[in-house]
Amino acid sequence: MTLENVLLLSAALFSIGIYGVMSRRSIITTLMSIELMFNAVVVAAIAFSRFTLPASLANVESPVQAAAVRLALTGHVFAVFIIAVAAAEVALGLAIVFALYRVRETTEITDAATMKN
Amino acid sequence: MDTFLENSLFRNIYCNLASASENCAARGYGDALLPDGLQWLAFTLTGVAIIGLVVNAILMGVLGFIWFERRVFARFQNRVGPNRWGPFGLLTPVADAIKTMFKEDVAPEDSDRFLYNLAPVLMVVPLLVVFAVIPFGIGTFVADLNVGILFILAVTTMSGLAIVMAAWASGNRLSIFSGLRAVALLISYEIPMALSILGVLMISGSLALGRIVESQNVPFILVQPMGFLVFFLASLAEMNRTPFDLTEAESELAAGYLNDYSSMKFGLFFLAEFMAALAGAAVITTLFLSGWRGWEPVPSQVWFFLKMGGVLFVIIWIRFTWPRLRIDQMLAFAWKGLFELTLVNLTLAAILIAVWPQPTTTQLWMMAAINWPVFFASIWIIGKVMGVRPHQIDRTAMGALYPVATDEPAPASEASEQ
Amino acid sequence: MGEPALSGLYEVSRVVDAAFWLFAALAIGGAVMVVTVKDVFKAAVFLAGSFLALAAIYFLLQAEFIGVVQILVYVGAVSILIAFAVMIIADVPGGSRPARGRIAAATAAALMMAALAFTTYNTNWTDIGQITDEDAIAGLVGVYYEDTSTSPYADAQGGTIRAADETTKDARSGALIDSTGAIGTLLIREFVLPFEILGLLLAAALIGGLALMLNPRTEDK
Repeated sequence: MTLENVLLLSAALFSIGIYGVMSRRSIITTLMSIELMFNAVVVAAIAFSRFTLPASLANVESPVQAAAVRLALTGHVFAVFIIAVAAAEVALGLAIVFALYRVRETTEITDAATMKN
Repeated sequence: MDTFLENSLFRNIYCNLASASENCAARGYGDALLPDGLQWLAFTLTGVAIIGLVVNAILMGVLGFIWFERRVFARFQNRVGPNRWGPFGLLTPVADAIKTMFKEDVAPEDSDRFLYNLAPVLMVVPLLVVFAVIPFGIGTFVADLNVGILFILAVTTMSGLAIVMAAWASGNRLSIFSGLRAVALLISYEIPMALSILGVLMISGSLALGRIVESQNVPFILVQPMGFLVFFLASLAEMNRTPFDLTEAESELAAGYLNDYSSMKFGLFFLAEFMAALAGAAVITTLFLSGWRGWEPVPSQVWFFLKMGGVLFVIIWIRFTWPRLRIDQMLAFAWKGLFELTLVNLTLAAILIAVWPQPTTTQLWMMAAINWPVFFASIWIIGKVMGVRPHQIDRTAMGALYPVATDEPAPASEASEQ
Repeated sequence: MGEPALSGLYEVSRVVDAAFWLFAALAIGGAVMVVTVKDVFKAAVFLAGSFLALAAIYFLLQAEFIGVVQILVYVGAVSILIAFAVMIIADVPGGSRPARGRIAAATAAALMMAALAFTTYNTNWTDIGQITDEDAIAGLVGVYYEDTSTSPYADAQGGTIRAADETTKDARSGALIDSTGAIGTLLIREFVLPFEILGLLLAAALIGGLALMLNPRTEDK
């Protein structure tokens, strides 16, 4: 479980997400692929936080250095923000899909590409 | 690894299997069964053995609980209850299980077989995982996670996905509507459940269940009565038990999301419901009734199971004395009643913790003394805000709708106004 | 100096590696099924499975809080939301057919994967596996031991390594082991502005969702 292996997993998920976004016809599958890409980024952030070593780790005497040690968890904080934003985004995306479906009775992207009113 | 070896059961099995392990040697284990280099095999075998033990213990507990519930059910209704199979009817759940296994396994033609088969499994597995985190006694746990209680909350939300899958895989619209209603109920009650334990977490200072039990010099049911009440009612809703069992009540349902299941798949859903009751009781015991703490000569595991049995008795008692709520009443109760109680509880707990950051026993008693009057006051206020008292219903309007038989013709105009 | 008692996970590192590859295969398999399956509901279920495998990987990476948040938010809420949407919309009757740009999409994905993999393997990461300094490893895994005479950190910055023997539980006081409190402190102190903006964004998402669904022209709400 080295850093390269986890980053390889993250890259694979991201690439699969890219394929999913560009090659499906239903909006909901596109949203799901975007969620996959978000998860790939979160995996990378956590992996970096776990495997890379901040320089001021060993001295934990003063509060300033304790704060520096805590900053090793910046990747985790990133992960929290990304998860929250992605959840909000998928909720709003689905609300838009509902509104679109109410008007057009279909969710095929090629049909919705016509921006007529 | 250190916390693994603190667990005495794991340590016994692992260190007797693995050789040349420094951690085991430091704890005084000498010879071992497996040759050197196979520590990974020892670890895997130990894990499998402990999982097998725990799962079997839980299933035996579920059997015992089914028997217990049917006997208590019967005594509440002045009957005897099952007493034919085995002494005192103790083998009745076994007979139930065998009967369920022999039923015919039909599936609707329209359904999606993969999802149809997967849904009951997804319902049962999260509940098994909940038992992995709970301390049943001193040093008696499978894994004392640092984020224990949050893990339990997270895993119980997975049952919503199982219900959605079961509803969709049944293939008919009525199942889908019933499943959607059940999931709306579950999601609405997750929020009070999560917020109500924040007071407990603030006082004990940790998410780990072992630390929460250790910090309960005064049981938290006394220190956080509002949290206990909200968590108890929200757990009842999550377990889909009365008074919240609209989705599975036999008298209410023309079609439900469970209708198209038969034989062992239905048995698995049934099992999941009872296991949810056990898991909820175990979590309530750990969080609010000070877990395995008790007085000395009786071992801590016995104390835990006694308290859990008490909570289970109260849950069964509520099932057979309270009436069922309608779905809109349930949702209104969650969002208008319980949610506001949790906010009041959170504010009060935050203020108290700001005053007494790491409370000693006397400070816990003082917190308890402050919490109970606020508890009664908030229930009274929220009761006023939420609903009409029965004697305030306007009976004259109802009289126009349901007229008593007289010689005069019914007042059709007033009736149509309603 | 004697052998330092490193974190005991080194004993079972083969199990940890095997578990990581298993969950990585599950996650990638689930993702591939999401983008290839025709039935949109099954794709949503496979997505939930992929999320679950990723949560297990977070636990293996000692990010317990993030693993639990992943289960709570993604498996317990986002997956249910997507499944709801699929059920209510009763999607394209033939399922989701792949669009015409499949070859281009596959090419783009493959190129992206190649670029990322190349970057990953050609960068000189400061990997914990490559660090032979036992003080640094002890600091990272949370076990501190007592020998400050040969530690370069003691000389360079003039501080000392906190010493704790095996029997005290202070060995687990490292911020990287019990991450929940440290994440909370970071959110309130160093990252308080993004935290508050996130609250604002979630409120905006809530209001926006409601505004999209409450349509005054139709009767349903």
